[in-house]
Amino acid sequence: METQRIVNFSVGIFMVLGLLALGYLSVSFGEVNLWGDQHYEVNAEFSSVTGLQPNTAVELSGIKVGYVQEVSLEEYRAKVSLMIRRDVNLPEDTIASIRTRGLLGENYVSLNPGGLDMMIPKDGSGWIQDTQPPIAIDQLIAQFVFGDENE
Amino acid sequence: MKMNKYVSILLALLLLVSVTPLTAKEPRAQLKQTVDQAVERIEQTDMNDTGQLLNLRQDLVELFEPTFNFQEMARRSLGAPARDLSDEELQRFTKAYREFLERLYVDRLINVQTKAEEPYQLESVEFGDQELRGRYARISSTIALSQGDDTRQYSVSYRMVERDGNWGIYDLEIEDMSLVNTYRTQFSEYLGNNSIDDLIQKLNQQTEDREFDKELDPLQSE
Repeated sequence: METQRIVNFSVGIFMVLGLLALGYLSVSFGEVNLWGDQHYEVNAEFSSVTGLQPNTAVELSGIKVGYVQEVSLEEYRAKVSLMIRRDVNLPEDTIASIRTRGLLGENYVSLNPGGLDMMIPKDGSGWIQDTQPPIAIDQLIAQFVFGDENE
Repeated sequence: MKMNKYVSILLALLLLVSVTPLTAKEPRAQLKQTVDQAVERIEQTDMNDTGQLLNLRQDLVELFEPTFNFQEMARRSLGAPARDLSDEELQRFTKAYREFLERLYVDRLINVQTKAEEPYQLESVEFGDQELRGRYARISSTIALSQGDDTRQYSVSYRMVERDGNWGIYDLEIEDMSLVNTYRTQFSEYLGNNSIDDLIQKLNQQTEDREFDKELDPLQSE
């Protein structure tokens, strides 16, 4: 009888630990922040955002500092909402570029901080004024294969 | 090479702007007016007359200085390294960078125009809408340049910022290529292995080596 109780108790503990582990994995893989979002929103406008998707990484000096929250169309230009880590201050003259990892790799947003003392506000109203669209690889290949008509 | 010449001409034309500082709340109208003035000044010049060319160069430098915010442009072109510089170093860099841009593009315009078998003609400049966001404005335009029967159109955007009530150009984008971004990349690579004094010296050296001076400037050839 005593042994049966110990077995039941052990199975119960095992189940609880299993459920906790499952919960942790779900929260972790789903990137759910249970203690409030430690990011602030910054907007940027691009002439083109070919291949850019929500949750794409935002990097500064090769280190991930945020992610793309939303991509939308506004007045025939692409508006991108970026979520940036709160501990990262961005100068007003930061330049955002859309880059590709390797020749055919995934896209990401690269931030190049500027030299101004004024910082982009962290209250969600901030804009990155200067942006660079992605390089159109297909156009470059076409130029290489068929030649540049300007040359 | 031909493409480079077009871009040089374009940049030079873009750098030519007004006597009037842009103090109005309508940066587009002011910019259009000043570009028209600059184009008119170029069209009045005989490209085969050395004296007129020297006057043109001087006029152009004086014309565009009030319209550009070179301090802002220099700081933005340096990027993050600018934050570590003293005010004195920033001032010296701004002066060297301003002179470098002036000489590079104004003299290149003159060189290309005087040496080309057929001079380039500015066919038209059409301004699009201005986008205002707080202290920032983007004014888009389309410029058509021709050489003989060959005419090409370029999209050009002026990036302006309002500081102390004055609008000043801090960047130019030609076909989505930003002048500031291009120089920021080059300067940050150079400053990775060199000091700001080296960079200032290099800019000054390149300013002094301009081809136009050697060939056409009487003071330089003495």
